[in-house]
Amino acid sequence: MTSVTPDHMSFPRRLGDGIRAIARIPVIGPLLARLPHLIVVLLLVSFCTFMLVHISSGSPAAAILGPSATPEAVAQINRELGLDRPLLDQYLHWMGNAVQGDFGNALVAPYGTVTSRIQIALPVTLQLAAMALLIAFLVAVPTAVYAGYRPGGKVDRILNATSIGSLAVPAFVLALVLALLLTLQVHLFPRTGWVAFTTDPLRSIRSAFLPALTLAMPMIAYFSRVLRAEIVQTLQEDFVLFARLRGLPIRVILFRYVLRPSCVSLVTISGVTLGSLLGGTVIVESIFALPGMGHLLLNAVVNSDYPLVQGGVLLTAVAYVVINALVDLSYSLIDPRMRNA
Amino acid sequence: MPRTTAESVTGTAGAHAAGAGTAGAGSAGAAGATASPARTRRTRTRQRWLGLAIVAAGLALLFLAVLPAAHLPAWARWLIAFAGLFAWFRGTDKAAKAHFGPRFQTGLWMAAIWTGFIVLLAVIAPMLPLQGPTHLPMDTPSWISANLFGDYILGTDGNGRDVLSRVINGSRVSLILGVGSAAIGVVLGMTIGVLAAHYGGLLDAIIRVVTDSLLSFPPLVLLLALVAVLKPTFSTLFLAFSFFVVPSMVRLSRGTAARLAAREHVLAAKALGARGPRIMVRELLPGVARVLLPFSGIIVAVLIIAAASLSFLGLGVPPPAPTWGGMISDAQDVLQQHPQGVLIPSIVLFITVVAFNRLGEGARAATDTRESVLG
Repeated sequence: MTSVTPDHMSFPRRLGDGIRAIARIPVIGPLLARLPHLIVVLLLVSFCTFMLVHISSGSPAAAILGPSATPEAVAQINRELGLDRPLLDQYLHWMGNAVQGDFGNALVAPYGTVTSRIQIALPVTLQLAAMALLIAFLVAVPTAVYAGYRPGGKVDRILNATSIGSLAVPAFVLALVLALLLTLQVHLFPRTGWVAFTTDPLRSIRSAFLPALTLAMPMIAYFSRVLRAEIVQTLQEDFVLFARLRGLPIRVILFRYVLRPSCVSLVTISGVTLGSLLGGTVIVESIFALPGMGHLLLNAVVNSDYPLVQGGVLLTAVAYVVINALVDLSYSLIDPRMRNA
Repeated sequence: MPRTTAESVTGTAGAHAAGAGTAGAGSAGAAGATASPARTRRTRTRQRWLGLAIVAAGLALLFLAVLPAAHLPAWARWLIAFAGLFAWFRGTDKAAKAHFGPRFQTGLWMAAIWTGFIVLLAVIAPMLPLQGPTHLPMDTPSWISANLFGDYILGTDGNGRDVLSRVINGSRVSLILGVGSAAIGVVLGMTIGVLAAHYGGLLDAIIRVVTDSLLSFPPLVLLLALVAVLKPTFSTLFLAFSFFVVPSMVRLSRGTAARLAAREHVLAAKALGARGPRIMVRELLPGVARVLLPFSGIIVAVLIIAAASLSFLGLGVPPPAPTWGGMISDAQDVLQQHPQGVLIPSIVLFITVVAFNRLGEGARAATDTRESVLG
């Protein structure tokens, strides 16, 4: 699953040579070399998103008019939405608008432009994702460092057992159990409802805590397993032995010298996790009744509100691609030895 | 000894199971190194009986938890049941390690037994003397509590339907969706990946761009979008799930096959005059399958969770067909009054997912000979 042949391998020879030359430029080189591939991927992603609705069984006209629509009314709506034009024409039109931030209007109440709906929903999901990542890092990093420092020890074994368990609990079960334990028994956190961060930061954090914790639990398990494995490997390296010989305290060795080069996989998977959080908090948002991106997408899917589905899916997919590209870029910043690799 | 190296390389799970083993029954082994064989045997026998005693205590606790005569509040029953289960597992582990040696993987065997059990139940579900899962009795009260000696072993749900019957019939949906689509997805992904790695060039470039694009959609968003397009019925869900598995399998198999293609045995086959199809089937496919097939256990687990999540959101196999996710979703509003409605299907789901994960991980540890794949 790990090493796949480098990106430039599959391009035609001459183009490949050029790209390889670019890739040698330090720091931004690798990103530039990936650019052609990235652009093709983004185009394809947008095309898939666009086509998604056109192979769909429920037509947008039916979503607007309801089941008792006459054929004339359907044709009328199709003409208004431009659905009677050739596909490629529609795609180019849609893409042209999308690049300018215009995804059209939502078809189902509460209406409004897709962009404005996303603007309302996105901050909620971003705050959730940020809090979940923060909780996950705060718990996973110290645990993993200690477990990696004493492999096979008590902390390590408890970590292993709990992580296998918590990776197997579906998000909705976890959310329900947390809700049962923390909101109904101890009235510490609200069960549902959302307070925007701008209106009241403290209450906002309280209202987002339980959903963020639900999202963070499997992340804690995943992050700490990955980081622990790398810490164990890094501790075998000569520079650690040297640091010990110099008599540096173990705390300094672990957190100043070992943690940083061990972070590469952690950064990768947290990038992937962040990307999927942007669209993938559907379940948590529906249980805790939060007005985020997941809620938006789910409603759009249920109501066949196709501009909203297209806009939301395209945005999350593009964010996913961009985040992963940034993650690739960050490797050489984390571990300077990888610049020459 | 490929198995031992694989276990030490895989690190996390395998090594820990072994580590826990040395902690539990290892005192016997350590004593055996210095003491006489007779003493070792005595220690092992003692460990075995101790394990069986813990098992008996666990079973007694479980019995107490389900005994209607003991007037216990519901939360105490759950607590006792969990304690009983824990004791039962640790006791079995101890006894099995003493009997079969400290390397015995109790968890793996239990996972295999549970998987076999649930598959068997799913297969023979129509023949079991159960109420139909969608049968709506007019006269049965809703939310009868679970009672081992009553008419309804696991109680009834909000509509007075038999929970046991719904759990067992729900396993059919989960297993067919999970195992069936994982099988199709893995086989398709493996084929495409090997083709891409072997022919390279334009075909490879196209396959890679398409795969990367499909993997750019966050998983649940992709599933939601597919469900939105196809409208959830059993067969469209099956299709969507298979499609969902393919891209990641293509990426994995392409990477593995590309590494294998650079190795000597492939070169030798080429030198002997083997052509494309033969090289792919005889030289590349076995190595790729060795890496991919163990992953199917984990994929089945992921798909079972995904199926339950979609059912929970109301986008899975439509009701009244019994699904675990749907049962949990139906019961979530009365979580406080009748926690059993959520807990029973959740626990079955949890154990099944853990079992498939463990089987996949066990298979991976057994076949993971990393050095030979790297070449």
